[in-house]
Amino acid sequence: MRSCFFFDTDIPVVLSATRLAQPQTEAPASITVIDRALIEASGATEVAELFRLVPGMQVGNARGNFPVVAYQGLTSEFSQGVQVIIDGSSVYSPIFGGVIWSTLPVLLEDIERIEVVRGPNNTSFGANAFQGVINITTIHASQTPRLTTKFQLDNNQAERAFFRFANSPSNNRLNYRISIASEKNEGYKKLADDFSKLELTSRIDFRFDTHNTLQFNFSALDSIRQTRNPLATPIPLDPKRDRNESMQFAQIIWEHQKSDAEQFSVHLSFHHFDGKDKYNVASNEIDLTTESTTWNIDIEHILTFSPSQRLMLGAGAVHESVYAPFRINSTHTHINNRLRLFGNLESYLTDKLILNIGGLIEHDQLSGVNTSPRITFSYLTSPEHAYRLTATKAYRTPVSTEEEREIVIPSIGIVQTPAGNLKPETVASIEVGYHGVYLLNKLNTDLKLFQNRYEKLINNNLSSSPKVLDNQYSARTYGTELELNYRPDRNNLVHIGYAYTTVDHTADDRIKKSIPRHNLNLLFSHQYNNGWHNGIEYYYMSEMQYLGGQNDPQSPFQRLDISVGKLFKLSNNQTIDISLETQLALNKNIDLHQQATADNLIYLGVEYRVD
Amino acid sequence: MLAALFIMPITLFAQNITVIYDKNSQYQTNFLELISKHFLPSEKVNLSTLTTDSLDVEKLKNKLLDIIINLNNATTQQLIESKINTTTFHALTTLSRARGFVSCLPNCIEKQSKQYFFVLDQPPARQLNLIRLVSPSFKNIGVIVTNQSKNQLTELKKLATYKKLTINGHITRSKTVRYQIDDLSKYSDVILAIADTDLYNAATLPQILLTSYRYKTPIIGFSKGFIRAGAIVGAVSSIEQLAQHLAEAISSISNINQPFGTSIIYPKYFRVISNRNVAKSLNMHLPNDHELQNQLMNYESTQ
Repeated sequence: MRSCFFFDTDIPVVLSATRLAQPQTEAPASITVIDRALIEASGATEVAELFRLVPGMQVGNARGNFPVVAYQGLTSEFSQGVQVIIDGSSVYSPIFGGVIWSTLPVLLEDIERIEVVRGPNNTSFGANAFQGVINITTIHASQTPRLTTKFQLDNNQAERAFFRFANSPSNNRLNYRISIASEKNEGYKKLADDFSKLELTSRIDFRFDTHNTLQFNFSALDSIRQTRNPLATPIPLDPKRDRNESMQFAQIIWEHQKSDAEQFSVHLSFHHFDGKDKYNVASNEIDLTTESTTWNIDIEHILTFSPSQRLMLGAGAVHESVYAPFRINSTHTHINNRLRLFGNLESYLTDKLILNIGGLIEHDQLSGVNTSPRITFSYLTSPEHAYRLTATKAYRTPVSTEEEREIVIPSIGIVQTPAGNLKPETVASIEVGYHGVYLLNKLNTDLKLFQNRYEKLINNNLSSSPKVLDNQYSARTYGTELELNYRPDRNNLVHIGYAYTTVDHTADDRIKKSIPRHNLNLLFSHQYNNGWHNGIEYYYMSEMQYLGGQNDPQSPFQRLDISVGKLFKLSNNQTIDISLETQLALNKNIDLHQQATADNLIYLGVEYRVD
Repeated sequence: MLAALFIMPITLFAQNITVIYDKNSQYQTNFLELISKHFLPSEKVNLSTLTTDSLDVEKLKNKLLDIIINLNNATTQQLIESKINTTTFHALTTLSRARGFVSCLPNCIEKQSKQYFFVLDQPPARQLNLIRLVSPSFKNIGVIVTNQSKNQLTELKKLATYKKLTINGHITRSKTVRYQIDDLSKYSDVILAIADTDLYNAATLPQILLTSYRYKTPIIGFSKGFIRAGAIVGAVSSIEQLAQHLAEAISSISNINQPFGTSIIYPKYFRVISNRNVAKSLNMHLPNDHELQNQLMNYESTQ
């Protein structure tokens, strides 16, 4: 018998600070938590779709094969204001800014939890956490069933196959899983946006000893994405063609739990994207190839001085290289290096009043030194009810293809020139929030009132010729967001999100149109004890128009999803889940382009698991 | 006169006590030191020690001993099979292990009248009271046991019915605990970890704690290390408290031939330890550890 287990405190900490979801009553911002139960209840078929459940978020598809995820508008198909973190490492693209969702280095089935921080948060998540942060935690390798296979097809000739294998050699110190997914889709009927994709992801968790763990993630993807200018009248310089995109991502995370009160972690990541797109038009060669490589290292130190005081300090460095010959009119690779220091102190000033104060200072080779402070006061009238006042300033640094943009079109000449001195976009945000837990933890409510003042927004819509990118826009947005999550028992889940956002009347018309006024999501899911499960979701978004010259006005978006399925338990360790889901496009929804009208879709999925 | 001598408390005379322990085990050595301190200086106790590598049970049977204290699980079977006639206290063991040696426990004091087990498990009533203090809404309690510890499930169910709680029990093997933990986490409000290290150990804990956390189902742990790893709270007895209890129990024996009414003796002294980070992350707001401990002690003093 392992009697020493009773007295030996030298047992590895499993639920360490980095593995725990942040308590929402004490968080310095409004956070939407999308856990595994909500992921499965949503019936989402791709990662981007999950964010329809977040108040204030817009999800679209720029062509059927290029998902767009934005928060509170002000974006083109490259949503530059949302930072995306996977297991602590950023996957923000230095080419256009934002995240290339079609090459995200994580599969839906491998996600444990997503925490969406609704609001600027450079302090905790680095530069470019300008409007919001999507923080994805993947499933620990030890938690994965031994074998999972899944097939899905729909009435639009889309097919997806998923396969995952996991194992833990005898002593359970080493756990690993490997997932492979293959997908084909014909996108929108009237657009040239077929795609096929093959992705491999893996995770290895290794426990050295009781104080040290190592995590290794690796992803690789190869896809063929059909593209063509989406306007109804074809543009000869942007013909129908295939674009070959590949991605490789790797990260190593070392966590050292020095004691119950002290933890170090080091994250080292590598992210490479290559989009080959070279073609000839009327004996002119157009090279829309884009390639980027990012190396990122972050060191974090968490110190708990006492139950009422916790300090986090960190430092990081990023090395980015970008190759975008068409956008920068150069075949040279452009380099950018960034260094940053960040920290946050959480302190209970009294037993009810919490102060959260933090900041980031960063040096960027392109835009110099930037700082981002944040201060939050949270007042807990009881452990279940918290009121919050937050003030923060955040920024988004221009990327190489903005700072050094020079587009030359054969037979036309220069159509866009660099500004040369683009400054970072800034936002000063004030937020009043409330988070309450009711009915013995069964009901969570979150309410937020905010005002954001944006300055120096980079304008890419100028009518001058040639176009010059400049920090011309500003805008003041106001609004409110409400979220309710009700789980009366294990079998039922109700999730409601609503956002109202309005823009100051002095803002540019295009800016106003880029922010949908109303955003609503409703989800109800029920599981029966005999294995049957069903769900119903409704999504609504007001009319809007994404920024960018080629994006059309969109009428209000309305969609009703209905799903039904049954889980069959074949034996103690084998299950099959068969599900049918319909997506009813109630408003003939248009996604970024008039030609992209959504059809009603019916999905059939079969998932087989062996433990 | 002679009769009076026999009925007088044995403590009037010096007790000859031998402690069997494994000198290579740090915690057994610590325990020995602690009980030695409790008995010294005392003229009422002659304390000797015997290491497991020099143990000869036949010789031991011939020695004039009042009490044997056995700290080493591997020696328990030997002592029981030898049918040694000396009152023996087996300490630092668990209920499931004790049942592995004597399957009729705790209801066989006549058959095994000389063998007593000071177990590490907390009494079931204390554990159920702790669950009620942590959250009155916890009604469905998940419990996993092995074949060896399954009798504990029966006892828990009896007690739970009285307290209007439901025990959601599963019998499994250590190799298959990962399959059960998923179902258990889904359908229980809280999981009560039975002190069975075949199920809960450093190798299985990561999967158990991560899975239960995914379903937001807290676990009541049984050791400081388990709670530190991620269980939300637990009643835990330290080596010092266990040693104190054993020493006090021996000092107050009035009849050496039947010192206790039951073969299983649960820890008397305990403290409550919680993991506030995990609790907060699950939106649970526990009273402080001291308060929980006091409330548990109040419950026990009134029962």
